[in-house]
Amino acid sequence: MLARVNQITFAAPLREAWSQVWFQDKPTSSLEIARMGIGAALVLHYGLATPYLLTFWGDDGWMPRALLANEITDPWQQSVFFYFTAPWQWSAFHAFFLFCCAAFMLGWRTSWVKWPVLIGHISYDYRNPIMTYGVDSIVACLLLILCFAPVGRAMSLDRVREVRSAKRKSLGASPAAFISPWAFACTRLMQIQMAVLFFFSAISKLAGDDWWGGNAIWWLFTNSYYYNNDILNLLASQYWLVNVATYGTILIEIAFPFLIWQRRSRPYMLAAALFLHLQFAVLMHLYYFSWVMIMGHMSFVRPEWLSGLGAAWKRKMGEMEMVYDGACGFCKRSMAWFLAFDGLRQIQIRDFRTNPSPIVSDEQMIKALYLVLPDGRALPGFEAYRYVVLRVPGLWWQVPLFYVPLFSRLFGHPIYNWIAANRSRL
Amino acid sequence: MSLLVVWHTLAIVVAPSPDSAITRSARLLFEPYLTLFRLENGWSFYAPYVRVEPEFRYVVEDASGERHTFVPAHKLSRFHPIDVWVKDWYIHVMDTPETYGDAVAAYLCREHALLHPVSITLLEIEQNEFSPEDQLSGKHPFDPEFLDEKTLTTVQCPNE
Repeated sequence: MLARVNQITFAAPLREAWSQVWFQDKPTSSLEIARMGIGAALVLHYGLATPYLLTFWGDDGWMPRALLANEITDPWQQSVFFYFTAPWQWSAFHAFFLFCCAAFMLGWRTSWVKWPVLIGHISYDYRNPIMTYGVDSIVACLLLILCFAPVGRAMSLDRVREVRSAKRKSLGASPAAFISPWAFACTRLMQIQMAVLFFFSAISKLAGDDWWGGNAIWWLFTNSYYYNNDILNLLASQYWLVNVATYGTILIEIAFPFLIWQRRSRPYMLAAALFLHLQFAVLMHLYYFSWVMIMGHMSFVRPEWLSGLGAAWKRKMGEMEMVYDGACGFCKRSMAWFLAFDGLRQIQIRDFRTNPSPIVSDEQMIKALYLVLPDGRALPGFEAYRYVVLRVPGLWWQVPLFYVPLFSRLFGHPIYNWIAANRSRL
Repeated sequence: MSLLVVWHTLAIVVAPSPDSAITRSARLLFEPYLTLFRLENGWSFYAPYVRVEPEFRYVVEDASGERHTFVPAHKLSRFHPIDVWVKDWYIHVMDTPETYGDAVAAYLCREHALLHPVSITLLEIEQNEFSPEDQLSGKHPFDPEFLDEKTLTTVQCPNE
């Protein structure tokens, strides 16, 4: 009996603590930022490598299959390229992989495209393993966690499709944001990955005289690859900068895995890590590496910070009310599409047929949709959309269409007016 | 779920851990997982030492006996995302010319077919220590006095 009581007394707090560490109900927002950033980096990186496809990974390129046996000694090192025989297979797979990377970045069918992205990335790495470097491993580590995670539930085309589907039934519907304990667990895994990486990076540096002696940064910039005469001149004349940069790098890397977990020190550690990687990007031109690391660090961005940022943006942009024609099927369908991109729910809607606007008359509404602003201004049709796309982050991708000087207005007005006039037939 | 997070956390900690009896045993268990998903890495960036990396060059000797020297690094743009891949490839070739020299030379023979190459000579340009005093006295890390040229291998191109 006593043993049973003890078991209950100790097990409950342990279970509670375990859930606190791993399984809180949280949104996927920080993972989604990492997904978009890593997806964009992969599209750019592998997209620009397209002209070198057969040189880097083909059988007649830099790594003929016969030589691969020197590097691939473990049956667990697998690549789809090991099974290809004709060049068109390389091209077809590359096109498919780039398509999946783009879909992963945009969050389209994320639950399955994330797997070909992971498999593809590992396949490229193992087909020519001597060409890869640290960032390729980091990408694989982060991609695997993103594959485990329920990504694509926010800031994605999948979320847009979900919201649109609800809004087609009722424009006022707003499906609840996705939260799950598994999203939190995967965010935690990514955080641990970044902390482990920093910790081992720091202790490996401490094993070398270059870093202990405070001279590592000097040797780095004398490398032909990182050489910059202005930087070297500055460092040579102010050598204390070399010491500060060398010890500062170690200090940030060693402090990060310990201080990043505390509520009060996290913003400072995150800022320090971002600063470090921006330095790598600017001074060493390691853009891909720095970007991927910054995306990994996004896992430490608290959802509360993001929602606070969203609320501040919403306040700054002010309220917006779109007045539409509820008797027009085409208008409702287009509104459902449009509003599905409004993740921050900045736009209010009003059907002038059932709820007439005190600002816009029914005669005006027959001709066009209107956007009513807090100061009482009412913008019609094309101008309404033009105003909104700049102020709703989910619609920023349309900014180039609406803001091409002269052309946007020149073509936008007549196109909108034609659609508005023929809306009952569309 | 708990099992997966514990497994994955242990795996990412074991992957970069230094060699010891405990980590060797753990590796036996985690190795397939780490290898399959390419999680294996020591995360030792520029450590324990900052290596002053050599520069790769090659000389194409054409049918008339003329020698053309190429420096691949000069063709790369630092803004192009693949340039680190290319740099790392050449460094690996310089480290193990006995393994990769022939393959690289065969590739370069095809690449420079318009020159009608007879042979390709792979070179490694090693950089010597360059001090702050050298910089302040107006010298340059790539002045001949700081460079040593080493011939890695010469490979005959196949007859056309």
